[in-house]
Amino acid sequence: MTSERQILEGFLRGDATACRELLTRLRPACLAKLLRDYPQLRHVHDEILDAAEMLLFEWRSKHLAGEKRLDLDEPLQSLARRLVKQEAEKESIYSGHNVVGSKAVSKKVLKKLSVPAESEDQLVVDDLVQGIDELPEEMAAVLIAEAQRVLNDGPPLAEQLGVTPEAARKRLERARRELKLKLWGRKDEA
Amino acid sequence: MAKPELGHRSDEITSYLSETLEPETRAELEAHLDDCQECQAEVEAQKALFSQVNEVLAVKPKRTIDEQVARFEKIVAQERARAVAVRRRRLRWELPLGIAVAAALAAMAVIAWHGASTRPDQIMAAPRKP
Repeated sequence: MTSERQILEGFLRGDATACRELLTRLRPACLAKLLRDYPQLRHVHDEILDAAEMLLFEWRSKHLAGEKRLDLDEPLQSLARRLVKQEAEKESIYSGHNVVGSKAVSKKVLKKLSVPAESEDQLVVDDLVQGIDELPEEMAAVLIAEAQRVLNDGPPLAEQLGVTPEAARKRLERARRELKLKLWGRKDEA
Repeated sequence: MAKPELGHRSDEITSYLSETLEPETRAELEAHLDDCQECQAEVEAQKALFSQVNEVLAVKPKRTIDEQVARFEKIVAQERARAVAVRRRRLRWELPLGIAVAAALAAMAVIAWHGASTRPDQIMAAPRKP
């Protein structure tokens, strides 16, 4: 399995395979960050993701020109956070959304994610999104990676997570168990 | 979507749907599912839950990874073309300049050598004053 450092080195050299691997691993991390910290911008998550990936290419060029924008020892999760933050804040300024304290407002905004308000389906989606929001970020990223694989013909889960297929399935299982407990366990407590 | 209570083999069912069960346990659970309606219902409920999770979480990216990689390759190709152009521009000036400098140095060396080798003869050939 290629290490994150090797991927970043290859990316800086201009290696297309390294770039593919980097994007494959960064996408779920970026989407998890967007879902968690910028749910109010959900309607433009695809655009922010696109802009964040372009920003990554821009940072590479600047890095090669001598501006230190990328750190070979930086974990990809942290790189995803920086990319998304910059682009999401730009987008929120443009669209007039307030992202300051976005975590605090997210619960309210989550309620507005889908249109059929107060229907039974809507309540289920609210519960679901809230449950996912309460998961640790790594677990949310696993679920997002699986969703990308299943519904958007995304790369295999193992490639997106940078682990072996067995380990990827284990992580998925843990994330699902945790979510199931949060959703159905919560109901049992009530 | 139905919200069943967690059944007596709920976690195993999650593992089953995530394909992490050992073959023996999997076979045993499948045999159990044939007889247990409660577990059958939970399998369906968990399937529905995970499918809904996928629907809620899936964001359709504007570009596929292949498209982004193609963009990246284009950027890298442009960078390399720029670097080659810079090298060529340098060569256009630096090569002739280098040749000229080398030629000038060679000429100076020849002159110096010629001067050094002819001067003693000239000295020897010069008429002595009485």
